[in-house]
Amino acid sequence: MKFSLKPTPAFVRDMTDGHSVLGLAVSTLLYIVCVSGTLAVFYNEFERWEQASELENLEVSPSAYQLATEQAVALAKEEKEEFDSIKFTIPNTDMPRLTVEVGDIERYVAADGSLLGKVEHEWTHFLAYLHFALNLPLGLGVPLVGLIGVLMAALILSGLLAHPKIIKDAFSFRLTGSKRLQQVDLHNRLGVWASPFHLAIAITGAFIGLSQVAAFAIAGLFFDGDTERVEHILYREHPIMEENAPEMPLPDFAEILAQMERIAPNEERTKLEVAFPGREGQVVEIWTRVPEKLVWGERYHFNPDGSLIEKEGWSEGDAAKQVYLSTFRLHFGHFSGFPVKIAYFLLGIGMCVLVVSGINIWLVRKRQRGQPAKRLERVWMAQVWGIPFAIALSAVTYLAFAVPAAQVFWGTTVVLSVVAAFAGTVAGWSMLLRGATIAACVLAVIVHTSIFGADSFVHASLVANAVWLLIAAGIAASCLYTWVRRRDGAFASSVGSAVGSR
Amino acid sequence: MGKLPFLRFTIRWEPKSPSVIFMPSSFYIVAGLASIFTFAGIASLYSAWLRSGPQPLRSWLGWGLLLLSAFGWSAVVGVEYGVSIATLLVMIGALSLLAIKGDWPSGPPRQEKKRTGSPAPSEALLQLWLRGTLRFLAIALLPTASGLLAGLLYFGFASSGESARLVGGAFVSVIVWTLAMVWCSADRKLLRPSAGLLIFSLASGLVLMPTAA
Repeated sequence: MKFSLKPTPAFVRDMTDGHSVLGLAVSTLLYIVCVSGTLAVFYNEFERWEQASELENLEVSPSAYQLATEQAVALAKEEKEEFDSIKFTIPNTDMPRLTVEVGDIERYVAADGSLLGKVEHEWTHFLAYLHFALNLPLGLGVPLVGLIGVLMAALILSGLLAHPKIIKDAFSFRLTGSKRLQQVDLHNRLGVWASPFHLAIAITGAFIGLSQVAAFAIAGLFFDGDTERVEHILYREHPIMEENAPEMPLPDFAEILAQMERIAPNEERTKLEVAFPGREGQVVEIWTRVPEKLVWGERYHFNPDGSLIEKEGWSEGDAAKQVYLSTFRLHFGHFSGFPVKIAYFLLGIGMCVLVVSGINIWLVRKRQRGQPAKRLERVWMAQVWGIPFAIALSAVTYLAFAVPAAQVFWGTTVVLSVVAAFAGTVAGWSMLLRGATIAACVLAVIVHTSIFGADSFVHASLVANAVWLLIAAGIAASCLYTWVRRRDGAFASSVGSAVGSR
Repeated sequence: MGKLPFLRFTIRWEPKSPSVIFMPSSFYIVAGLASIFTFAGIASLYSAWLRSGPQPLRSWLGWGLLLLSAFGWSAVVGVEYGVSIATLLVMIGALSLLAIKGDWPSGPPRQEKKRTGSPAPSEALLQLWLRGTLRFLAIALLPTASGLLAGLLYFGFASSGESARLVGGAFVSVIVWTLAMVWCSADRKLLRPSAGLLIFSLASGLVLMPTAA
């Protein structure tokens, strides 16, 4: 019997059918996760964009932490806010703003340590929440998005297996062919060449999303339901404060930061947390970013007098911890700075196109078989352009009127889908919503500029506004291209009919 | 070395601000060479795969250059960043080449061909929906159970440290889950993957039961 690794036509057909089943099962949700994830690459920039005029300063003296801690504790007591720790964002290149968080209170901090205005990143948090939980309750949304990650990995695998001429067709891009061939080539080329990115995103996404489910399962089976026991396999246990612990002076921030400078001069500090500030048993944790490592960071624990308790060791030693903690930066594209973010953004757009072209292939095939799903085609088109439109609109309405972004997004998406089910044409919805998305993106920049003035075009705001404008420009270019082709088509048919009538 | 601050994008003129930090010139030379290797590698693969007949020299040269690029990036920014950046460059480079070389249509859109076929009768449609629903349920439930149980088996019985078993178990879970989904969605005989995954799940459950705390 002859053994061959070449897939049989039946195998390819089965894989293609399976690929279609999986793709159709999650189409809209997968598309929402992809679009929101593509924008969320610029999460830090959007957070700074929302409050564009806040102070940015990388140099903070240790005394600022001292004063900010005192003021934050006083504020928390005044507002009867319960807390057992104080968290600072140490200004770093991703977020060059000093902030303090105590309980649910979050404030910016001036260079001298006095508290400034509230930290408000509602729209960015909506965007991230949409991406990782579809705005559902966390316990339901995060595993659901994790499941979408698994489905995505299965889609990539079945897509690659359904592709017998993967090498031969690697550079074949026949856009002048039929609509179906165009979509197939677009789908296959994007799918194959960007598959390492897609797989990395899908697997890390599934891993992040389902880790809580896995922790519950392991805790339930092996540790009597104690999920903290599972958590402490990867993370050090937090200290527990004794009730009515006596008060004592705040930690010596100057000594702790000086120690950090001696221990890890090349690591960028990102967070500082004081557990039980001003009480006996208080400890200080400092998070850093480690050069050349994908791990989320490293954590150092200090006594209040500045002596090091221990380095957690995420960036060295235990390979399993390193792998686990590397999934986040790999998924978010937050390593190596801005060019990698641009690459993730572009490949993210490619992923959105991949999802859209996949469903388009199925719709075209149905049409060619004489079973067009006209209503479904309209709904799908309304979602393809309606979802980016709804996201951009939510930014405009939040900036201008502080309307909750999740309500605007889901309301717009549902209304457009329902209306498209009963009215309009595919081409009409496409052009209308492309125009609306362009308008919403431009409007986001206009509203931002009207609020923040010159601050709209410096630092992270420049990046965020450039993202909106580039999206608008890209969609405008696609509209122009469609319009030119339609005009040529109308011209050709009028010439044809004129010649025919002679 | 290590950080890639030169890649950080900030525009600011005040002294106390995130600023562009310059890297040593050797960094730019090696990184530049590595990028050139990437694009040369893609071009070599392009010329090999577009020609008819096997082109082993061009193919191997292409793969070799891509490998060299990964080594180059790893030398200046470490292996973890280096491999990631080199892979991103290959993807962006190949897709850019496709966009440049693709034969973009300029004329009016082509009329779609219609294949012969008549709408399926309602009974067939009903059957199709029933099968589809069954398959969807199978895809949703059985791979989930198999994936989670495979992860638990790994955590319970692999002979390594606790953290390695935990992280390894999570990866095993995601991989088995994915493979089971592909099997459930692609096998024409739905009964086959359903039975296979059900047996696996039940057997795993039986094995895990005594270990339950």
